[in-house]
Amino acid sequence: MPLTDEDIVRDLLHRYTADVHPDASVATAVAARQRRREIRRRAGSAVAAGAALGVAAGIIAFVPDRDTGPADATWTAGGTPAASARPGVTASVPAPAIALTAGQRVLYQLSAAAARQQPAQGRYVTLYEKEDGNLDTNVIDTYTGDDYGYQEGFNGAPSGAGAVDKHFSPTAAEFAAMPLDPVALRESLIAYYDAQAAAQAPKWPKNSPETRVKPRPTPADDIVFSQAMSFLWNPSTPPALRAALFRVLAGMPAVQVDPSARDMLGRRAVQISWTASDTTVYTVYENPANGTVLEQTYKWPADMDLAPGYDLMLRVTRTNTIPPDPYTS
Amino acid sequence: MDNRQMRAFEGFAAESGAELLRIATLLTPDRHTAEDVYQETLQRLAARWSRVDNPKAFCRQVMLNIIRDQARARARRPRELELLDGTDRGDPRSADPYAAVELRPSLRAALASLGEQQRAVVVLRYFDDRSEDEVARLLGITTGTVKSTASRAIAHLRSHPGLAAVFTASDSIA
Repeated sequence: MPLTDEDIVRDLLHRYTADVHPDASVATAVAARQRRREIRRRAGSAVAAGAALGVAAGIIAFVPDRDTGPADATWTAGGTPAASARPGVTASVPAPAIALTAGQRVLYQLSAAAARQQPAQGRYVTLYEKEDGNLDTNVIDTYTGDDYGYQEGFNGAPSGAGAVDKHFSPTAAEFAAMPLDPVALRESLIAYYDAQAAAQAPKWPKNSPETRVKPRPTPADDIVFSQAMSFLWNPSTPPALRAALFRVLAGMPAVQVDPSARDMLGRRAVQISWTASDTTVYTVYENPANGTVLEQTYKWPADMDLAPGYDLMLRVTRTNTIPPDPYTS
Repeated sequence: MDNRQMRAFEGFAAESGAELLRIATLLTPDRHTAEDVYQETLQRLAARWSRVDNPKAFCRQVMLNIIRDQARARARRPRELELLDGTDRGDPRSADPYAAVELRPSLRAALASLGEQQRAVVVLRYFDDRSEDEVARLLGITTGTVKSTASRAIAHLRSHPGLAAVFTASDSIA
């Protein structure tokens, strides 16, 4: 039976691609990257809704005294525990364990170093990173919070069109409106998370199996650490807020601090780690000279069967015009 | 994206990834670009995973959008030299795998010589087996335009120097 031209074309196309198979690791890497972006995005895009919520609840307050505390401060026990809206969870500011005094001292020193920095100028912040081995560049518009993400293509090929992530980061104005008192900031971080979690909750149909499974509430300290980690990663976070975040972390007894660590590039770093309730281990490496991020790592729970991930900060620049895609030839 | 959603996402990629990458391979100039388009498509899907009803349809549409954007960006740049001469006469329908491999440059050159819309219609219609109505909806054109575009594209492929031997060697009917 004679073949039609369409049959021949159909056959050619299928034979041409018969040996084309995707690398399974691509989907895994994409899923892991998305998970990390969601951790960061929670801290970013929830700010507007969260701030409104916080103001309405009376939990966000501007504190006139914006000093960062003495660099060699020692923490004394006996502070009044802050009220927490999450049942069964005791807010840990400002009553930390005495055993963490050394760690707290290091965090206060980081806080002081961050507070000494001058706010950077320039509308666009460009982050050059290495993310799990791939070069990755993000351009954050500090006016809108939009993020332009570029990745190096396979084998160094030019990347595809950069994807724009709307309001990925808080804007400069939203950062400026955030509280700097550790207790208020901690409560704000939780309020932001709750607002964002509600906004991003999947819309399952009624009576679907998913609606019958009630997820376990995320512990407050897990939220606070991951939110703080997001803001610390973001170079557009103002120095005063960065300083306040270190003081929030100083109030969390389970935070692990190593003041004499090194990042993957061998740079001197303060290592701050947190083991979340799902056993994910988040680690931040901070520059002791100025409190900026050098590296962040993620060790996922064993049941996720995911290789540990890392984001290595290579360079940060600020400009008033949007930089081009660095991977386009 | 929680653990369960990650598993579902990876399951979708395992089931449909090959088909999506093959479509990208047919619609883009080279394998590296196809892999980048595939990865970018998965990233956009991952960002909306909990809100997408039909992931495959979503990916198909996203992929077409990315490729269209890239084609327009390429059109604004100086043309690159075509290194393939299109004289290969291997037959991809042969049982001989080497013959199939040898014709690939010719098929790639023939696809590259099609217009952007012609190429998309050919791939969606004859590789992805979409109906004329579906192709029309995906590309934002009328069903009549799909029919006429497909007809012209087939005629073009038939007359392409690298593929003419395949069509004439076959006992084909137009």
